[in-house]
Amino acid sequence: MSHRRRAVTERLYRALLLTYPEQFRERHGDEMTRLFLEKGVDARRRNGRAGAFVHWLSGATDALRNGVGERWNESRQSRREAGTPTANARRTNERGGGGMDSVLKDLKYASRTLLQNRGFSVVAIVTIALGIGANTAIFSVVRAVLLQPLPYEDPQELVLLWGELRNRGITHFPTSPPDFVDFRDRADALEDLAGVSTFQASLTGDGDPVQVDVGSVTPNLFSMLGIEPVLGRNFVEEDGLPNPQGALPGQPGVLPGIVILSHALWQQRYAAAPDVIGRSIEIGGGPAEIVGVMPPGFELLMPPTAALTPNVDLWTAARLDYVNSPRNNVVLRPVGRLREGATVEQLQAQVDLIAADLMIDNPIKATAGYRLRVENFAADVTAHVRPVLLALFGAVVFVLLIACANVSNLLLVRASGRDREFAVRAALGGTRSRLIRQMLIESGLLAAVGALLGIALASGGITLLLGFQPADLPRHRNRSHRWTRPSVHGRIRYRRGCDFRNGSRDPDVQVRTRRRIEGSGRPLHEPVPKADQERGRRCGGRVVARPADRVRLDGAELRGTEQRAAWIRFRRSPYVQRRPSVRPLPAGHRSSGFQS
Amino acid sequence: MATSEDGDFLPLTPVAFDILLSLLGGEAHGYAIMRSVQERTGAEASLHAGTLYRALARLVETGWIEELERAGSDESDERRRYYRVTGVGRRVARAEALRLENQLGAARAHGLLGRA
Repeated sequence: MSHRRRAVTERLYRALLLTYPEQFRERHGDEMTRLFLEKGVDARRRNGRAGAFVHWLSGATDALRNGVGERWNESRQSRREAGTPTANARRTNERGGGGMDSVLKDLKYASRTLLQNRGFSVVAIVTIALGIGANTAIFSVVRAVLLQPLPYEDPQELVLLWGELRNRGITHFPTSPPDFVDFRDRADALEDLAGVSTFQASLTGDGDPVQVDVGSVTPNLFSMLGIEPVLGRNFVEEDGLPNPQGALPGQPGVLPGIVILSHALWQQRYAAAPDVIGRSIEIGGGPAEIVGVMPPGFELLMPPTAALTPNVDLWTAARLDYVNSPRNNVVLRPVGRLREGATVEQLQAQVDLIAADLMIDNPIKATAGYRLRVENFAADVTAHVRPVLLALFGAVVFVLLIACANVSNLLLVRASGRDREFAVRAALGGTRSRLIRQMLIESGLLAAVGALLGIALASGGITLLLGFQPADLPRHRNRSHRWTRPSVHGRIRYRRGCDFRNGSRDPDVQVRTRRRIEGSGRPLHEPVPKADQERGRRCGGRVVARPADRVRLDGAELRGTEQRAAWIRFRRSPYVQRRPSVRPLPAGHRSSGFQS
Repeated sequence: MATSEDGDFLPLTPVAFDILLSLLGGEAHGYAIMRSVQERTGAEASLHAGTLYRALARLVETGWIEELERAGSDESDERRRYYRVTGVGRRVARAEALRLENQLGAARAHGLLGRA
């Protein structure tokens, strides 16, 4: 082994030894390193470079494993050796909280207390779960439908152009091919303009005849949207050349329709055969040729008012005569792409001028009050569901807020019933930070279980929601369980965990602790004194407080004296209903959850 | 003689038993122990420094082996610690050997190793 390699190996191995407790390292570190290096030399001599590598790897793993094990041993031993519980608690706290092990202990203790108060735990968890579940479900849909960009290239540049016949009350009027050309060629703000219409036709010529939904598009549509077929080729300009004038389907001289299959039809009718490309079929009795297959899941999203079939089985390039067709033969729904930097408003101004010109040439348009309206594609596609979804979303956000407030109240009520437990723990040497950590872990555990259940509820909720789904809810197929939402809620829940406050955090905790233990001097089994009963009743009052006040208390970040002042104001406010049905807490209640 | 008390520690971990066996032949340092374990088991990468020294530390703690005060016999061994098996360690090793022998006997009786 070269000198340099040996030095590097030695340093690396010594770094690994840092996992061992210091004492162990000092005692055995040198020898271990030496043994490791000697063994490495052996291994290299016997099995060459590969042998040395294997030795290195297994030796390093071995050191790491044993180092961690030794450290674990040491911490366990030191705990076992530590004397009284008080000393133990102090010691743990002095070492900055006592590390992973005491957190585990806190977790165990927290789950025991929560299990003991099953009623409380179930109510809190279900409240949290409902809040999170409803939010996650709705948000998953909101995100899929409203927030995610359209599945096309640069979707923010895409626009829809709708004809309006204002005097006739028509808002989604198609465009005739000659008008389409006028708009395409004269509006500078447009980079490209495509058009689409749908119809039903019979598909024959290869097997059983079937009725299919056909999307008839201008050849540039898919390239404008940035969609490429998964098989075969895209439409080209020649695919859309018009038939000779007067030619009818089936007659000689008629050009074949050029077809791109949808992925679904390709799979169902053609069993995903790759050789469909070039196959001749008949659509509506006219000859056609398959040139490609669209990617799975592709659909041309349109608002329901467009009266287009959403799930198209096959696409053909429209053979339209853009010059000679009558201007009243309206067939196309135009989809455009804005030139870079151009805005919807600029385009609107330009098409207004063009539409004005068209009205001069066509009196029928003038009497109908013709106009072309430009809409942002994404906004227009979801315009009809946006208000409903947002309203639902707003509602469930408030459900979550109310759930948070409810759980906070539950925790506060519960905490005031546990004064004794904390007092005793404090007297046994539990420092304030330790008690606070215990509380945080308890509420954290509640939140975690609630969140898990909430996510499960959300999965079911999404299915339920889509069961109610209006048939024209666009894009919901893209929705899935969204992890972003639970993470947002994770933060909220965590905050709520911190919001939870208990007396042990107050500055005068020690005085009160002493008073509670010495002053009252009441054994755990004695009846609750009058004052405490009164306090219990007030706690009951908090539970039935109105949601508005809960929100205020929970939402405001009030700390220390400010918080106490607010709390007192709240307690005296007329909103706190003291229902006679709320009984003072029974004697046994105050000791519930006490274990030490 | 193995007492019932020695039996309380059984079964030993293979590493602990290996180390005890190696030390029965006399005092040795870590590297020598490792070599002798290797020779006996034939496995090359069986015992690494991490496992070995941790086991040694445990055995010293329980008092089955002890560390020698003196430095190594020659200059090059200066840094090495030597270990020696104690009386208790010897008894525990014997108890383990007896236990294994019992099991071996059972295995033989069932023809696992061919008829003896």
